[in-house]
Amino acid sequence: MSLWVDKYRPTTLAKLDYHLEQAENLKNMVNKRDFPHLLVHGPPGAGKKTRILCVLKELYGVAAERLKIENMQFETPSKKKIEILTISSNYHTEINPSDAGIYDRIVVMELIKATAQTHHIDIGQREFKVVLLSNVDQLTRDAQHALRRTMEKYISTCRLILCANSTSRVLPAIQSRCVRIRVPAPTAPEIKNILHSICKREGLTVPDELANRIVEASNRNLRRAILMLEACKVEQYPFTVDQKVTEPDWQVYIRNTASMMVSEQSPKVLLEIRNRFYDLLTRSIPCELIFRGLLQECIKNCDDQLKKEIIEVASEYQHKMVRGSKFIFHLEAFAARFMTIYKKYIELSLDNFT
Amino acid sequence: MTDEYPDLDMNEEFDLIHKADYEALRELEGELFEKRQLPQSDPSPSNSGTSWIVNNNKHQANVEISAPDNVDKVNNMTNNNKNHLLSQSDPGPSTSGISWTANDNKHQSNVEIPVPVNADKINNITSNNKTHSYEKYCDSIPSSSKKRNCEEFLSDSSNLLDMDIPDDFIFGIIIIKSLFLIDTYDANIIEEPKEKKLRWDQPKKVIKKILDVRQLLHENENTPMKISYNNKKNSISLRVPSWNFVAVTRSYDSQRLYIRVRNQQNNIKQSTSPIANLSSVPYKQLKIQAKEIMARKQDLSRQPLSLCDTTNIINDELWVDKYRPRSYIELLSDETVNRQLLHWLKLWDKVVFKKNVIKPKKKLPNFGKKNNIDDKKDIEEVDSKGYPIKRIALLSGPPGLGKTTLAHIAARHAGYNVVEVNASDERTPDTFRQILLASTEMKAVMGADPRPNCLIFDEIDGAPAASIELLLKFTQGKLITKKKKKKEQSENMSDGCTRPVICICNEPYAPSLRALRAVSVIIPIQEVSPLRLAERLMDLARKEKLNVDFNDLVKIAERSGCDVRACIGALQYMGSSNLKDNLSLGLKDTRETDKLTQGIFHNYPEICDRKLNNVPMSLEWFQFYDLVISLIAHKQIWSLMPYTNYGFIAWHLYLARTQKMKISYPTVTNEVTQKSAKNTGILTAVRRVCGRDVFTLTTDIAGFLPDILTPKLRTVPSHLYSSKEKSDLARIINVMLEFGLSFVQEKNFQRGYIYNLDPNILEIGVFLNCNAHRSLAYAVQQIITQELEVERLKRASILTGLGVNSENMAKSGNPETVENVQNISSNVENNTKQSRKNATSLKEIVYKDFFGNIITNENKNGQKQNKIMNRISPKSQEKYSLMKNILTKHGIWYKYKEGCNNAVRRNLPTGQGRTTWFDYPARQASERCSSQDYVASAPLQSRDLRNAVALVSTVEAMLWRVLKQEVYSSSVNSRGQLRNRIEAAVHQISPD
Repeated sequence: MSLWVDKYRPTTLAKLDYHLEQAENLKNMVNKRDFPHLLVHGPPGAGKKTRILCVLKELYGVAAERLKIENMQFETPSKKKIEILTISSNYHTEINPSDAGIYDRIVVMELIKATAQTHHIDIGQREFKVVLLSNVDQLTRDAQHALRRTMEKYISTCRLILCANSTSRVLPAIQSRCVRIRVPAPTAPEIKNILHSICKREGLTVPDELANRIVEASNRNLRRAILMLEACKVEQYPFTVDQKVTEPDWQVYIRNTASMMVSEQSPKVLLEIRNRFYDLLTRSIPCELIFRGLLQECIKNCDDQLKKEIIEVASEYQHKMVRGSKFIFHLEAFAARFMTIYKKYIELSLDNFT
Repeated sequence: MTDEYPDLDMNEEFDLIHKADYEALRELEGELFEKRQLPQSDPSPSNSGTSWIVNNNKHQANVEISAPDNVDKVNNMTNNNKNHLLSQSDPGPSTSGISWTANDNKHQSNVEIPVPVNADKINNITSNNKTHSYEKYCDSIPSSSKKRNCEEFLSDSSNLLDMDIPDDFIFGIIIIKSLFLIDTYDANIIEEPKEKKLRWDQPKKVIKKILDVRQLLHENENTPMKISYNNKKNSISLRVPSWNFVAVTRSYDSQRLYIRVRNQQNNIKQSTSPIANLSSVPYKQLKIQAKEIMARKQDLSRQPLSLCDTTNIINDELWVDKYRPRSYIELLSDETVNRQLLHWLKLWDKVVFKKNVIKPKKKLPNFGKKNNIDDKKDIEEVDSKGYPIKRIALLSGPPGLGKTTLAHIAARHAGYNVVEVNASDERTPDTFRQILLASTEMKAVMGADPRPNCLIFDEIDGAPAASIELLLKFTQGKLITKKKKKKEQSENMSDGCTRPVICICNEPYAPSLRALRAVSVIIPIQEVSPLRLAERLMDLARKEKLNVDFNDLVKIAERSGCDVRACIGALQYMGSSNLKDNLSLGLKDTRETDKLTQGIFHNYPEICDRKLNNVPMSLEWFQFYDLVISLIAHKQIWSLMPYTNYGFIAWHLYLARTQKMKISYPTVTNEVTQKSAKNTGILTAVRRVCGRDVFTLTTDIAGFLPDILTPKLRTVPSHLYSSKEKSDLARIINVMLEFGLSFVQEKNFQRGYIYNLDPNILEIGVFLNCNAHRSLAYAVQQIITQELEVERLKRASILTGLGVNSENMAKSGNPETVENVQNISSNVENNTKQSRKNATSLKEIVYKDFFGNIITNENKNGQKQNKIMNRISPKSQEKYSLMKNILTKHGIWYKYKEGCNNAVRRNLPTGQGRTTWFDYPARQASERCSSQDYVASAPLQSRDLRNAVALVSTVEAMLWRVLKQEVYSSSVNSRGQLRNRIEAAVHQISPD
């Protein structure tokens, strides 16, 4: 509520700032009697969740906004108890099944069954409840297979809204059962407009240059842009043009790590880098982000031939990382590989030079 | 004859053996001691020594032929031998030696040469013997049995080197010997002294016992035997020799003997050197001859060679078995434990052997007094029929301490035949019953050893519970028949168990053994002390001619957790040379590839210091390892498991260095898991309040919170803040509430106290050396904490309270300012009384909208009221309605000053437990109210009740102000009293 991100979050479809056509389509969809399963996907900070919540509000009215947070317990066949945090109103339940790790199949099945089997009598105009599953792309294959049957079986009483960053890891079978809604990241002018409007409503004025820099730093992530704006405001108000735009620490940290890799190549540095990886991983920064951050920073210093080689290596290693479970091995392997390639390249160019 | 044996050495040896025998026998055969002392007391001089050596040989030969315990026969034979020997001793010393040897050989090799031992014939044979045997052994294809005899012959005849014997013969013998390259199946040849004396005049029993005991004792003897330096002694040894050898077991007493294995070349060199002095034939000539013979024998020797190899393998037994204690006195386990078990076994004597139990005092003079008392209760009680009260002995202890060995030896020692049932046997109740009946009711009739059986149930903790139950029933058979007569099987169990039953388990407190524990004598076997174990290992190493350091042995013993079996195994396979480096081999956990991988991963950057080229390759193997492990974990494809090991080869090739490196244990993984567990804890705590994704929290919000939570606030009291600062303060408090954060005072070493965030999300958001983050001043943090507390109270009251003034309540959904909050709080007063009651029950129910906004639905106010009415107990409902009536009817209204609505309770130094309520200036009041001191000063209030109590105080302040009565200045001891007073006050008002 108090963060601007929450405070100025649109609550109805009509209030959305961008992708208006899509909002219109959603509204039409809601106004019809029936409602399909949805698969909402798009990059982080594009407004997927906002849209989903708007849809829910359109469906059920204000009552969908009355939320309670509670722990749900599930039992695996091996009698292990899993606790999962759910956010639910009377009409919908939101859950992040990837919290359960490899037991997500049980969570998905049990939750949908539990939701679908209890039927509200005073449900009003809708006969179905909604289960909102976030991070569907992190579901295991088993869970996705389980999902696809339950989706059909309980369609009369339960609709699913799936939320994912990318559909590449969502089974085609599930994709075909849903209406896919892609929410692209807002464009830079759109973000800028939103920043300006927020400032206006807060009674502030933001210089255009600062807004531009925020947009640039945010990488078209609207949530991050708004948080940056707020951090800037806390930092210094009235705004100045050349004000520092704070980035999240982890990004800076990854960038520093990458520059360590570029500056010196030796096992000793590798050891330091490993400890930095551990730092990042223990703070539950997703390893894909670490990988991408590293790569982006590393290839800045390379020529095209080298870029190609490194990106190839990186893609191979990241693929292995996704399939494996000990991320540190793969991160370090990439770091070491990059170092050797880069070292060879530097030595070669030095030889040519002399 | 006397030349033939180095009598000095031998005699020493005999004395020692004799001495050991003497002691052992005294220990074991107390009552028979008297009888034995006589024959043993005079050690034989050199003359008798030689005589009985021959005797012994004869004896052994006979033993091989006849039944080993046929003492009569033995005696006859020894007599015979004696005579024979005497007849032999007539000729000159050199010839007698030959004749004797020949005789011996003839006698032993009577398979091929069926000439019976005949003293008269010997002289005749003697002359032919050399050439005859030479020809015979050279020409015949050595079958295994023949080979044996050859070997015997050879070993004996090697003694003839000193004597006048044609060189070619000796040489031939040596060649043969070298060609045979070994093994003999039986080792009768050894002139190892067995009997000290001729005892044909002894009672059979004594001799038999002595034989038994001595055989058992030979291995236990600690004084190292002197190795005599003549050839024969070099070739055969009782101890483990330094030269190449083949171990063989003498069949009749399972004595281990070691027979030399020689290379052909080596042998020739060795053997020719002494001959060079003696022989008249030049060395070269000998060599040519030898080569001829060798060439002739080459093809012949091929077959036996292969044969020898197989027997080699068979005889190469584990040291664990080799050095297994074979008699009671060799046991390594604690003596009291051994005694305890043995004593318990002896209690059965009356039942089993139908003889009186020997009185314990006499029997166990060495018993510790403490044990004695316990045992009297536990074991020594015998019921009227002579059965021990506890019919089962339960040996318990960790693996490798020799429980099974102890049970076996004790049982055998007490004169039982051991019947063992272990985990490898089927242990269903049916088979169990069969075994029980068969072993306890029956007895071997056939065979030489008609002893009663003693049942040993090894590894009983793994047996099915039904079987154990059956065992219990069986041992208590008598009781069962008394109660339920003529039930099935009752006839079998009429007497209960008539034989001792020993159970062995690792974990005596296993649930399946609960019933068993109650009825059995529990004998826990303690761990051997590492030092004692190391001594034993040292002894063993000495026997095996291993050159080991005692400290290393202690280390092995410690590492294996005093597991004797593991230690000996480690010792055998590590050998002596690299024991120090391989100490880790003795560790029990060598199969954990995961730990190993971690270790390599942890240590490699230190090890490959400069070379970077190999690192990526080895890291690819780490990736491979991870992939395999993940596949196994996720899809249970266990067949991939072997592939995890290939990485180690690659890592070795890529990373290994010749220098020794210091290697550290990979503790990092542990730290990492701990850290990430802690951080996930923080994240879930935050999520529980704000309900966001982990992803969003870590990547976006946590990164910006450190900045957003540190506005620039001056370190002045909060009422002096400018409006901008006030709004900043309000905002930070809102943010903190939204994420469920709070400041917690913690002790710091330097400054006294510091404030930390409670779910410390800053830990996740802040990295070292990245962005510079401001931190709040201590005073500011204090202010924030106070305001936070106030705000929290207010929200709690809003949530539970009933909005009377709906306009203000509606505003709560809008962006709050401090003034706004104050307005709300002023309206809350009416509800506080009620909310106090409900605070505890309803606090958890928090209605929020999507944006974390607290929802107080004014439209459904009445409905909600009813809801609450239903939830609270009837009694408090009554009170609630009463209060509500009073408050609304009389229009009690209270307008608050700016600041906080909380009054404060202060302890007065005068009356005990007296509390008075003061109207503090608002700021001060709020400060006091929310400070930690306040909470601490109220011992009656648990922290959970803090909100409720604060609300009580609000009500009280209100009433006090309104009524202007002095009711509350009187002592208030408890909350209960307080409530009563409020009610009383309310009653006082109501008539007005």
